[in-house]
Amino acid sequence: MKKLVFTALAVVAFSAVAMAKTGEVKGSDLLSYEDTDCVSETADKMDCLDPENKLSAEEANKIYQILYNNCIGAGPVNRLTQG
Amino acid sequence: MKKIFLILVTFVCLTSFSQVSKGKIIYTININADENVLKSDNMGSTYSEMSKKAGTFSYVLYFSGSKTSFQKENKLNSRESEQDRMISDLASVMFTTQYNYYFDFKNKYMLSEIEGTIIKDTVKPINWLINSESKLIDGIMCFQALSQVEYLGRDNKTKFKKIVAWFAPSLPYSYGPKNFYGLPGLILELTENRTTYLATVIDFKDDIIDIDFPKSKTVSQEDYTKKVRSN
Repeated sequence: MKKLVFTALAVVAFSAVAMAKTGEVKGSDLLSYEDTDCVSETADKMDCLDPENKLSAEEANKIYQILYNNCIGAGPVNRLTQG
Repeated sequence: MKKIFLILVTFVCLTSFSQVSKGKIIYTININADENVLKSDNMGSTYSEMSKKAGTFSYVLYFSGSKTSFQKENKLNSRESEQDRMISDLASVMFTTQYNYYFDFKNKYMLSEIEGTIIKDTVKPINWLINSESKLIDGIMCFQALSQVEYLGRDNKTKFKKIVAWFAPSLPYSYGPKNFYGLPGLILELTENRTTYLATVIDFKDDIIDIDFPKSKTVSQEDYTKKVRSN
């Protein structure tokens, strides 16, 4: 009997704690991490640096690798999004 | 007549033996940055940093007998951040060179060293067009020579870049910055694309200069070019 009462009280207490401070979240406040598209971003940067395609293939490969590694190393971008 | 001939031969021999065959030349860098790229929203500031950084680089040409070496002067900077290193690497690739060059003109071969890879090739003549343009560089009379270099562009099209060199016949060494050579005088200034290499220190030496060629395994220029193109 004692065990039954204790178990019932524990369930009630747990439910109360679980439902505490539950409220509606506004869509405009959601914050999410988005993976950066490093391939596109690096390609854009390459076109900005060398708009007339004057770089050699070897130079372009090296510059691309440096910029791409920098983009990857920067990690996902913290962006505010609509919920 | 015989006496005059002997005197002339002696004079020529003396002048030949008195020519210094060792020296060190330091080239500083001047960048003519592309205004359109400087103005771009995306990469303008990065490009500006790159061009300024390249302007701080200096390269050393050592020559001793028929051997030469050309490499970047290392300036130790322990405070360099990761961002600074990235800018420095970008500047090297875009404006100057990441290669070290070694020439053995007697045995007609050259080594280009980059990131541990050593590429061996034969020394080939460069087609220079010497014209009558002249100017003084640090008080030394120099003449202009033009050439062009063929390369594969990033759009896979064959392209040519113009090379403008100013050489000093009064300095009878057929060497210059990077992998440019073969003029009847030391190259004191050379412009390739937006980069100008300018000799600012010319130091002829009496003591021995050891030019240490890298001794690791080499790859042929053909194999290295194939590897770059496959990337």
